[in-house]
Order: sequence, then structure tokens, then C-alpha cells
Amino acid sequence: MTEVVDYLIIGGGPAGTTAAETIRNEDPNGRIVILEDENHPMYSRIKIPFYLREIRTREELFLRTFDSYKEKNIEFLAGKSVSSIDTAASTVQTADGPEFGYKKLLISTGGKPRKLNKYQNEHSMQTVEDADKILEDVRKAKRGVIIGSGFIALEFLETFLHFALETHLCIAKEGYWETMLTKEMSDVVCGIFEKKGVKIYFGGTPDFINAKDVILGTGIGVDTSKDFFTGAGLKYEAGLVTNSNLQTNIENVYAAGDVVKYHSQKLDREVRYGNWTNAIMSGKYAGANMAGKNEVFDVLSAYSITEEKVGLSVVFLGFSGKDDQTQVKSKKVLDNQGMQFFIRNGKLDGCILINLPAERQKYQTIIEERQDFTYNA
Amino acid sequence: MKKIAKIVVERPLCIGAGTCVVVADKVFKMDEENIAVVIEGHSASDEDILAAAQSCPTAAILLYDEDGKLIYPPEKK
Repeated sequence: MTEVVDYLIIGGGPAGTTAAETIRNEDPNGRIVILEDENHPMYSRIKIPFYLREIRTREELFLRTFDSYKEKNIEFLAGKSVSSIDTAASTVQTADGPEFGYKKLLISTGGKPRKLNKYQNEHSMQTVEDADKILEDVRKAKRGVIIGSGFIALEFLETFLHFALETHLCIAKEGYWETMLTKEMSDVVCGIFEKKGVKIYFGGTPDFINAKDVILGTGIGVDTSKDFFTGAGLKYEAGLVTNSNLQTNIENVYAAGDVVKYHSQKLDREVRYGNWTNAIMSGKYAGANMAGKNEVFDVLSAYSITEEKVGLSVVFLGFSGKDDQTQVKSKKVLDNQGMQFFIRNGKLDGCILINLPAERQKYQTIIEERQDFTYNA
Repeated sequence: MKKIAKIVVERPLCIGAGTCVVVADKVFKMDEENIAVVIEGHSASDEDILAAAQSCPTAAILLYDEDGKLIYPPEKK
């Protein structure tokens, strides 16, 4: 017989866990079940670099324990992947058999890193197990090669420099973070890397990539885990589309975290963000709305990363993409500092600050308050 | 839970994600180096402070009770 639960959550990462805890605060008695395909309670992927640099232990990656879910009367079922959803029958089929019925469903499955599957020594940096493998191999390596640009490539850079490896970075011809940065800003970032002795390959790879003393890290983006909801009637357009309440086109189905593409009322545009703060906050709002509230999710995405060995701090505020509606302008301030603006209809929709952390509050206010913005070169 | 008497941000662990500021903007702000700091004289509830600490991706926010005992993150056994 199919068990029907009040709140079923697919994915127990930051978005799913926060949603479950928020629901529990709103509804002390409803039955909450989390289906998590990994074998761990919620942990921080962002803390993995600290584990790799031996600043924190493996155990300290975990931000929740199985007991902490139990204490809140949340059923956390680890190692349970979902094979399909039937939104008409309000049921979810797990890969190992049991079917769950739901009154409210949350999809918070995030993404899976893309892999090249071309090289034997290829490493991703997403799971605890990935981190274990990196740590095992990085100590044996003399050279580090990274393919890709973005957050994960930065973390590989920081890790390889920490282990004093000869470090090689392979990026697109157009430059670093080519989907977001202008050539001018990419040059600033690449200049910072080169100052640390990193050799950069634009559109190519070194010929020794398969050598025994090489560890290879790839950070070529993530794909939404969407196979399990294909055919379920959920609207998907490079993200699971929701309204501002994080409700999908199907009434009792919500989404949170990296998978969500929602309408930001503040920016008046569809946005999708893949960062920790967005995962936590969308989980909080989705959970509250599943439990009966009616709250608009419109937290300005603000995220940053600081890499000491690389010598780079990057702040991302709001929307940061290249599209037809958006004017993209950048300004190099010093050799290792720059700022980039995303402007639409005379307003600032987002910006990226490179090694200019003190400017964060100023631009955050301009974006949040929807002040008029003119770019001055 | 015992009352929170002291909040410490471990600066080397803070990556400036700013989640704590979004969760509890009366308690935390970002400084000039993009590191979270505690706002002096804040009057937030323990519940809000705990929620902010629990939301930190690097667990850089430490909470202590009046006896100096660590409340969050829970000590690993």
C-alpha cells in the first residue's frame, strides 16, 4: 500500500533540509519525509575545500546529523533516489521500490556536475566521496590540471596551489567565466592566476594531461537532475519554473534550490541562481508556503567566494548573465581589481566585484532599492 | 537550549557568502573585507541567531552559552 505523507521532499541538501525544518516550525504534527539519494545527512559542499586543505576534518563537513532530523520528527531516508513522479496521482516512485503518496511535494534536487568521462584521473568536487578521492590523489601528484571555469575550477586552483603543485588551467577561448564576464574582467582574473604561477590554456589542454603525476580536476558546470520528473507535466525551461511563491505549474508541487527558475518581482525578470544562500532562503520560503503561508520569495541573490592562495575574492550580486535585454559593462580598477555591471532599463540588475569587497554594500543597496543607475567609464 | 551569551565569527572560515546577513540582518553585517561581523547591541531572538549560525555554509559562526559552553556547532563526538 502506498504511504501518503503530508510533506514529501526530494533532496536533503541545504534547500530540502531548510524547507523541512521550516515546515516543522509551522506545522508541529504534519508528517515530513525527505528522500535523499546520497548516504549522508546534509553537509556543506562549500566546506569541502577546507577539508582538502586540512583546516577542517571530514566529520566537520556535516551540518546536520541523522539524530538532528529525528529530534525534529523529520524522517530522513538516505540512499533513496527517485525514479519518477506521477503528479496526477500525487505519487513518487523510488528506485528501490517503495512508492510514496504526498499532499505537498518539494523538488530540491540541485544539480549533478558534468563530467568529461575522457580521462582516467578526472576528479569532480561535489560529494564527500569526491573529496576523499581528491585527497588521496593530490598527495601523490606533482602537477595539477583543471578544465573549466567557475566556482569549482577556483576551488581546484586553491587546492592545487595549497599542495604546491605545478598548476595548469584549461578554459574556453573566450576566457574565464565566459558566460558572465567580459573579456576585460576575464583578463583581470587570468592575470591574478598567472601571478601565482598558473599556466593558462585558452581552448586547449596540455599534452601531458594523462601523465601519472597529474591530477585532473573538472569544473565544467552542472546539469539539473531532471530525468525523474520528465513527463510529469512540470514546466521546465532551463530550470523548474515556479511563480514567486516557488510553486510550480502544478498546485501542490513546489521547488527550491539550484533547480528553481522563478520570477523575481524586484528585478521583474525570470532568474535562476546556483548558490548556497539561494538554496537556504528558497528552502525557507518554499517550506513556509507548503505549510500554508503565502510568502513571495524575492531575496536578492548575493554570494561571494574568497580564495587566499589564489588571491581572489569575488562577489556576485543579483542577476549576472549575458542576454539580449541586458547591457553589460565592466571597469578595470587595478591590475587585480575590477567591477562588472548588468544594466537594464536604467537600473542595475546585478554586479560582480573582483577583489573589491568593500563595494558590496553600496551596489547591493543600488540594486535592492532599484535606484537609477548610469554607467560611468 | 541554553541562552546564547556570546557569538563568535571565525574569520579564517568565513568566505563572505553572506547567508547569515540574509537570515538575520539585525545580528550580522559584512565588513569592509567582506567578512561577517556581529552588530553591536543587537536585540535579536536566540532563535534567529541560531537560524543564522545553522545557515552558514562553513559553520564559521560559533554560539556559546553563559557558562562558555559551545551551543553551536554541536561538538563532534
